[in-house]
Amino acid sequence: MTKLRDAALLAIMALGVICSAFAQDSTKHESDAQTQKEILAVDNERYEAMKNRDMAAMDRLHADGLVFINTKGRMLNKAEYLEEVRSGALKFLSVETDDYKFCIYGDTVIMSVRAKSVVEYHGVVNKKPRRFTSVFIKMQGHWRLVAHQATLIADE
Amino acid sequence: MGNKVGHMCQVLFLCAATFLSVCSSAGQAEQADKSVLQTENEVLKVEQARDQALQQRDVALLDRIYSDQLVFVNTRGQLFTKAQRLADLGAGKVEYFSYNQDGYAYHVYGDTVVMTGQTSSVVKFQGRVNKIPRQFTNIYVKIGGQWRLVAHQATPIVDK
Repeated sequence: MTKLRDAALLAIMALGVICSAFAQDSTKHESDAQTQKEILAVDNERYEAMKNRDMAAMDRLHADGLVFINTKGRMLNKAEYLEEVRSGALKFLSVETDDYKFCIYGDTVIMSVRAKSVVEYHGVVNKKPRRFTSVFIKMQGHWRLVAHQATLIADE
Repeated sequence: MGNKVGHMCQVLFLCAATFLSVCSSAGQAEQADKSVLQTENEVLKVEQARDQALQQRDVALLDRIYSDQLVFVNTRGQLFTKAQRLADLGAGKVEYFSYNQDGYAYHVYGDTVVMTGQTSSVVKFQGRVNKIPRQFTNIYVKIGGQWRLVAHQATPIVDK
């Protein structure tokens, strides 16, 4: 009788552990989905700000320590990057992105994207497909872009 | 007279409080600087270990340094997972003829570090030898007490 009771107790405990693991997985899945939504919203806001040269929004959405590396391998800081947008040296003529991948590490998100956007940079129009990585960090409750790097896709 | 002494005491008290507050802020700033420097040194050590592991094709060490969710984008804009990258290295599909990286810069955000640098290493991959100088970003995140590479991207420098 005692053995039976112990076995039942063990079974209940095991079930509890499994349920708890499932619940945690499910919660993490929901939380990651929510984070992805937030990042996509911030990234869309960024594109809108670039298109409209809304410098107040650009300032708010980018971290002060921003590292921005363009397809020419040129590294810009926040002031330099914002100036390119403000002056019209960098213009998005159309935005087309796909193949999104997200890796979430708490308040840090790595987003990898393929883009076929048409961009005018210092008077030269670039239509070449590129792969970029954006890094967002949540600072005082707001996601901000801390790093962005783009590389032309050579084989497409 | 009593009023004057009282006033002087108040001024002295305010001065002392201000002095202590300034000292405390300076101490905190110094502590934060030390902590950032310490983080940069830790990340540099991991980066140096990664450099060695790449040259020696030490896949076991790279397995420990790379996060399981690694996002790796090479100079041709190709995206690789950790498994793909380690398989290519293990199979000898990535061959370094010389290794040279410099110009490191860091941005520390708690347990996340954005590290940038330039490389002019000569490397053969998929039958092509790459000698072009390139700008790279490495993102390190502290996971389970260890700094791990979570993202790497390299871009050829064509616009000096």
